Amino acid sequence: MKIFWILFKQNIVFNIISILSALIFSLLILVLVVNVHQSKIEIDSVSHFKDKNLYKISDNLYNEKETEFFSKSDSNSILNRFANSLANSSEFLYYNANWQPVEVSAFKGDIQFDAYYETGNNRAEYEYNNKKYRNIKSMQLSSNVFEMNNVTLSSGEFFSDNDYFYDEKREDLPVILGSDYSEVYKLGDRLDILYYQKSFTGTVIGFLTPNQTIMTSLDPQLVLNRYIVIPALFFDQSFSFHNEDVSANPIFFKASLLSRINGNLISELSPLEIRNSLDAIKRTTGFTDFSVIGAKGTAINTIIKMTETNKSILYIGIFVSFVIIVLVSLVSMLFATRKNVDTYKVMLISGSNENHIYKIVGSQTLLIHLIVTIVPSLFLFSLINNSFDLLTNYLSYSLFASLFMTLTSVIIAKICFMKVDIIQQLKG
Amino acid sequence: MPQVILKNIKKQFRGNTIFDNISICVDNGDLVAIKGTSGIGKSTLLNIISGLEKPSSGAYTFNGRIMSDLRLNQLSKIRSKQIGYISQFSPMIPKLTAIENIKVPLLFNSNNKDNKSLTKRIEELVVLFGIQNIITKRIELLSGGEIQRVGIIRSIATNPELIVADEPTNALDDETALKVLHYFKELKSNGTTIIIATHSANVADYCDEVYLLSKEGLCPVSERTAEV
Repeated sequence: MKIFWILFKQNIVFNIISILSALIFSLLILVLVVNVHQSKIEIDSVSHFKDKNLYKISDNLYNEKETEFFSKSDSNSILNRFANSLANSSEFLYYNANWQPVEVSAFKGDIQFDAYYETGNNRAEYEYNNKKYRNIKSMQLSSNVFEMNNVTLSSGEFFSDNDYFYDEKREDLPVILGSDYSEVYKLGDRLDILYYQKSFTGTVIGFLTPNQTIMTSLDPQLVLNRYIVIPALFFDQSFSFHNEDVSANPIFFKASLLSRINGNLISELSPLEIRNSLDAIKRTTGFTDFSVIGAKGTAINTIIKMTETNKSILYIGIFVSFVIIVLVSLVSMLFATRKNVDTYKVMLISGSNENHIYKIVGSQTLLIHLIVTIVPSLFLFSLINNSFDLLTNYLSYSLFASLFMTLTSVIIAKICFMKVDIIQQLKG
Repeated sequence: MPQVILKNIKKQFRGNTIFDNISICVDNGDLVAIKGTSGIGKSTLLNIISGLEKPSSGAYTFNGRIMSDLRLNQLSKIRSKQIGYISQFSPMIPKLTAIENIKVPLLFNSNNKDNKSLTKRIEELVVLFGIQNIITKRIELLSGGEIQRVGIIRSIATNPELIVADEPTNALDDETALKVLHYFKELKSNGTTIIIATHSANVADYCDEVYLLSKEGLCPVSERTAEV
């Protein structure tokens, strides 16, 4: 260790340049790892949508039409039949990703979780049944949303099949929280939730991995970090909409059914084929007040292309930066080695040898790189929610880069020794 | 058995033969001078004897071990423990103080680390060579003569069995040069072998044996004189 300090003292400026280069080098590796990780999440999350067409169903129930439709005694059953037919169709995938805030009482999180935080229109806390509620971001997702977007959990479990089905007088609701909630709640915590004005006890059953995104009709890459995810509730075909529960919570049932039918269709079928398919459902269910907004897969493919292009640009940028940093490191190493010739002479006549000196030079480079690797690791820990995957990737890349720089420094020392011929210089 | 045995040593450098057919035996406690004209290869011969360089051919045995067959690491171990090397212009580590430079060999010699007697020996040598006032000064601030004295102390501090000195007194004033030669005599009486390359007749006079290095080889000066 003492010899490292001696060598360091001989060329403080070049050694500081080497340390700074190594630090920038490590930070570049961090940027590379984080971006590759993020691009992978983004590409993975949209990969299932590639070359598919996305259609949106939109009900036409507003004003008089709405009043007229819901005046029928079997309006809820018609909507439910229609929704279940969509969900069970074999010609397309019916996909529910509904953006609908929920009210949570005694909410522990800060204002970033509020439903309208990003737009600056946060709603004030309000009192209901002697409890104070806050309007919190929430997504209601069908099970295929998790699969289609390759959503992963950092802990806990996904919703079970039963969690999506609403039973009469159900009061419990499993919830999966976005990664930003990891410091706010823990698995098993209970939340007092109002969902479409119906009271539920939410139980935290899982936490999402950071930066999970899903495709929605509002945002093609909605980041779920700050969201409370609850199941998009389905009603069984045999569910009766004439009971106390429905009478007590009419808004909940109506809104749940409407949000359920306003989903997306994902298919390789053309707009004409989709219309034909929906016409058949129209006839069998009796629900006709809807439109289908057709969209080719261009938007999805564009997102995939853009993500891939961004990734390429990023790679090129990082590669160029790497080359510059490596060149700076090499030049500073070369100068430092040449300036150390007298020190190497002393080492040689004091009982060291060329191989030992190469080892010291290499070890010094390795030590600098390993020490500076720690700094970005701390960033990683503090900024990216203790992501161990990222940390492992970063450390692996850093180790590889450190070994590369170590080997390079040894080669430089060897070239320098050959050119200077230190033994000959000892002869005076 | 002689401590240093060179047998038919040949050294080539970039295709040119520097010397050939060098043979010499040096016993424990001998003080030997090697004379020769500039560029004849005295420093190269000393480098071979000190284990810094390997001969192109021939055999070099030190304390019964064939040095020319040893690997770099094995040579280093022998050099750090048993051989002291004094250069014509002792190289120094610029940003270190004189005493730090003196202690550099201890970094490569595990036997000598934290050795109290060694520290005492260094202190004695510092006083003997009159550099007690400069030992805490950085090398960059010292004169050539002071640096050479630091270099000499560094080479003999670990009490090596063999001291190889290349024109050790060149940069020294007469008084200090005399002190160094006296000290070499003292070391010799304690059994240390000393081989000096020199131009100086005064230095050669201090030695038990004087050899002349020429293109033809190495031969005792008396023999050479007789031939002439």
